[in-house]
Amino acid sequence: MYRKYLEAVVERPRWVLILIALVTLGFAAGLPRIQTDTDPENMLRPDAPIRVYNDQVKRWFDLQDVLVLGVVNDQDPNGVLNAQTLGKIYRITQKILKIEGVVRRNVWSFPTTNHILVRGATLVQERLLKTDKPTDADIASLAKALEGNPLFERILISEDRTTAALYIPVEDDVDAKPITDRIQEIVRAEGGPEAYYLGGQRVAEDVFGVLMFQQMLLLSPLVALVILVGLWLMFRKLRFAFVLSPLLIALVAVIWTMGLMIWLGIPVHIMSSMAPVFLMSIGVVDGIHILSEFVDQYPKSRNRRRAILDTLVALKRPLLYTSLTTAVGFASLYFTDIPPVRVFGVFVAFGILAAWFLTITMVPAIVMVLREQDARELALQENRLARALRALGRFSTKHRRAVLVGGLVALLIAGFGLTQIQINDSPVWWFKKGQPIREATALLNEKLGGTSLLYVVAEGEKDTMKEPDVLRYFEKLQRYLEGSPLVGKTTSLADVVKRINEAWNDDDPRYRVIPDSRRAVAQFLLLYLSSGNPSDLQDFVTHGTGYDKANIIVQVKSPGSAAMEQVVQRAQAFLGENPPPRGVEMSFAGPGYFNAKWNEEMFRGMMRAVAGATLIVLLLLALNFRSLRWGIVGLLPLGFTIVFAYGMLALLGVPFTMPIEVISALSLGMAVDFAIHFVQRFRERFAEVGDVEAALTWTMGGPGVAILRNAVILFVGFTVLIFAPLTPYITVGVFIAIIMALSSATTLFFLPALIRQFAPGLVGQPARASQSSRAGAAAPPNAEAEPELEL
Amino acid sequence: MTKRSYNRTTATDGRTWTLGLLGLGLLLALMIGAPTATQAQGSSAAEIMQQAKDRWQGEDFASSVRLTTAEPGGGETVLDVDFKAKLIEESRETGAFRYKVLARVTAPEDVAGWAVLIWEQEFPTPDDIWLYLPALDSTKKISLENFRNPLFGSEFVFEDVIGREPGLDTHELLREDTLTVGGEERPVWVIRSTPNDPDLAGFAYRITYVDQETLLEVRMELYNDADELIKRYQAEEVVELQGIPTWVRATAENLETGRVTTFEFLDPVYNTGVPDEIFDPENLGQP
Repeated sequence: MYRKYLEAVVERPRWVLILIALVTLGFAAGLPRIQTDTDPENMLRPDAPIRVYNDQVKRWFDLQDVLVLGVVNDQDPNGVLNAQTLGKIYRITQKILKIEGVVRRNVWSFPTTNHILVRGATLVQERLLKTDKPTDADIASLAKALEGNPLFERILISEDRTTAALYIPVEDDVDAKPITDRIQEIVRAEGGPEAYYLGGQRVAEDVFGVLMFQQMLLLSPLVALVILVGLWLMFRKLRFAFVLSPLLIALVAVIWTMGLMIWLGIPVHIMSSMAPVFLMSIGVVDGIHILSEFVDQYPKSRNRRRAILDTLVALKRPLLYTSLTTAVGFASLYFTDIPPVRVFGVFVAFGILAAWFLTITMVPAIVMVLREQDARELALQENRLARALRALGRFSTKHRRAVLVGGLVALLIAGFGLTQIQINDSPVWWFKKGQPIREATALLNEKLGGTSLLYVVAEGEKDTMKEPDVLRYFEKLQRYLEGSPLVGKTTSLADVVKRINEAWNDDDPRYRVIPDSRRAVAQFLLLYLSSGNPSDLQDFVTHGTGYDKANIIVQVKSPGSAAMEQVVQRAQAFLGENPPPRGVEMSFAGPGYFNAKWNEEMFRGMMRAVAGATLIVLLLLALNFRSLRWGIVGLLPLGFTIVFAYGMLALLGVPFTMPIEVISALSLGMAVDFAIHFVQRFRERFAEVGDVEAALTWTMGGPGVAILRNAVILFVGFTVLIFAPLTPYITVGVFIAIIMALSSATTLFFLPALIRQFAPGLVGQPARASQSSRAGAAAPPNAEAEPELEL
Repeated sequence: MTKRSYNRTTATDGRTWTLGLLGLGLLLALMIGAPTATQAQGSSAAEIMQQAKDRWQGEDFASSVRLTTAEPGGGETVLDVDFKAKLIEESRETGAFRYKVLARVTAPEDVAGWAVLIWEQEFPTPDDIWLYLPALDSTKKISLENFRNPLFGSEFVFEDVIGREPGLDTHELLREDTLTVGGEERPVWVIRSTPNDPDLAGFAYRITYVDQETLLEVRMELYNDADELIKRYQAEEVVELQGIPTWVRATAENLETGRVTTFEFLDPVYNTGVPDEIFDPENLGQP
């Protein structure tokens, strides 16, 4: 059937290519309708408990994602507290309030923030900044209002007074990118000497979404170009179109996959945006194996039709099984709990099968479209490479014990490394150092309380949050948390009550305390509600629904998930030792907390998924080889690659980020492919020659060369990603390169030693056979069967 | 009981009532030279607003009030308030009637006694507003800039209790129209008012619907400078009580947050002889 299909293709190559082009156009037509989704919340299922609770907390306290604009003036001796800078802050705020998608009622900046004070016998509540032309008196009263006020210090202004902050909440369902663009425009119009920094997790996410696609558009062709140059160097004498075919197949597979995703209306997530990169690497592999084999086959018949049919028949099983195992491996990601990972897994699986189909269809068609004399000009200069690999194989089998023990030691060290894994990621770190968002976040974290937010949420009965003992408990927790250098600032209802007490008592700092009765607290709160914007209080307590819940806002100075994890542990330690009064229950939420949690979930999910996929791959391998032992051998390069790569990263102290975890799935694709080609061809060869070492030597010189070519091309191709400004792509680039190097090295270095060492168990080959082949090591025993192609 | 709902007013009653008012208006005009509701048809928007503000509201007034604020996410806060008003004697002669108002919380228990006292002053003198906190037994005045602050944290503001001073705005009559109030069509003037000092407003302009017969402001809409409706006041139920047109239920809806407060007079009554001493800022501690 397979052969009949190939013959049918070879009969009418032009029609086949036209048909594929048409189908590809059909898929490509959908691409412009692409929708993106960069919200990390969607990393968890909509019904995931953390997500449900987080959304609930946002509704209780009317909280939104916040963009933070830092205005810095370090030239003026008074910092930002001078008429020019304040004028700019006033105008910038007024313009920001007009931007569509900004939650006006919750914008926080000098001109929108109310301050309560007593002037004579009159209670005055006024905005911190009322005009863009403040007088010296206005500036002095602003300075006085800020001084030591826990609701303003390190939130609206830095301690050194060089930095003022504007908090700009944006609605949940809008794209923040146009808003950030507009804000950039507004601050550019105001100009220097002030410097402006726009940060916050939401900026990172939405700007990332846009850059993600720009980068893919820019980098994908670059990767393709590098791969193309690599292919041309390796198969120089072949007609261009033929050399191009592996790349063409990969690109067509990418278009089919992404096209299908978009036609189905599935938004492209950060995760699935990496699918093209994966498909590119996996798609190229089959084509390179075919080119390599074709180069070996053509001289035998000097007929392109026969050569390509022979090539594809010889590679039938490896091509099918590599594709099948990899596809099944990725498809098994469907069983994770992380929706974007499921989409990613299923579509990459589709892409891999598409690539297989395209390989066995397009390659013969392209060969037939070529003229015979093009095919005749074959490059046969690979012998040096083949010779080197055969020598490597001989070295490995000869010193097999040392090689295997060495490998085992490396594996043990790396295995220890696996226990040292640290997960630490943040959308802000998706940008390289020096990128504006990253700089902004660093500055805001240095000058102000911190941009990563943890909400410690207290839930109790009606009116519980007005009780003085509950408020004092909040204070105690806040002071304890502030003991950590990671915590820059905490704010709660306790701070509000203390401030009103102080204000009502003629700004006497002795009254900056929680009053002793619930009546006094309740009356201060009613005063606060009567003197300002009720939404100011909403952040801290559910005043509209009975004061049964309160929110302590904790600002963490590092955007990473590890810092957040530490702060949460500190809070948990406090809660464990100091149970809250009145049966109040405390829980955690907030964007920074959510980020830490999904990273943790993501890590666990990926590890489970890869472990599951590995098991399925093992079953498939055992089925293919009809032997569990061979299945295990085939799986070893994969296992070694994963353990070694991840163990070493952990030992080097590299924190694990989302892309690193995702790439573990890629090793599934690559390492298994190499092993299948190697083992399958070795066993076929062994069946012919009946000699382990001879078969190994042949395998190293033939399929081994194809494996090495693959590794080299993808290694070079993906190192290009190092130049991306987005760290996930850099990580992907570097890590694919590492995976390539490792999986090809394990396949070509450890497998020969392993197969030779355990030959009796694997092929039932008695030890003597190896002696005969060792004797003939200098001149391969199968010289006639496998003529040297050197000319 | 003289309380009569407009809902049950027949066409004949309406005409009779209008004619009666017309007569009374003419009489009043002759007596004190003030323009009347009917005459105001030809008068300026500023005059209409001034008349609405200056209208007669009895010698005194007393009622329990229930303030119910519904949160957009569900849940509501209820505040019970004891509400008393009394005519300021000096204003009787001018025909521009000014009042003193005392609103004292009765429930919930932990804020009971909390009070707001207002003395309406003759423009341009700003009104006096005092706050009283029982837990500290202490009183403070609030400043003019804060008159638009929320009343007891509701969607109504202090200024709404006695009506915004017309002199703060510039008024323009947009049109005459009809508006359904409490299920009944009422003739209204539609007036656009722009604050002279935006710092004393919190809105860019407002559109007020003044009932041509009762001079009650039956609807008011506040807009921001992007021409977006940010707040809407609506008289939901209007009655004639002891001969005085009175709204007994009104809502204030914040269009930005979705928060709605309903203000209800539960047992309103005029002219019961409310004592003058309770309106003394020094006496707010006495129950």
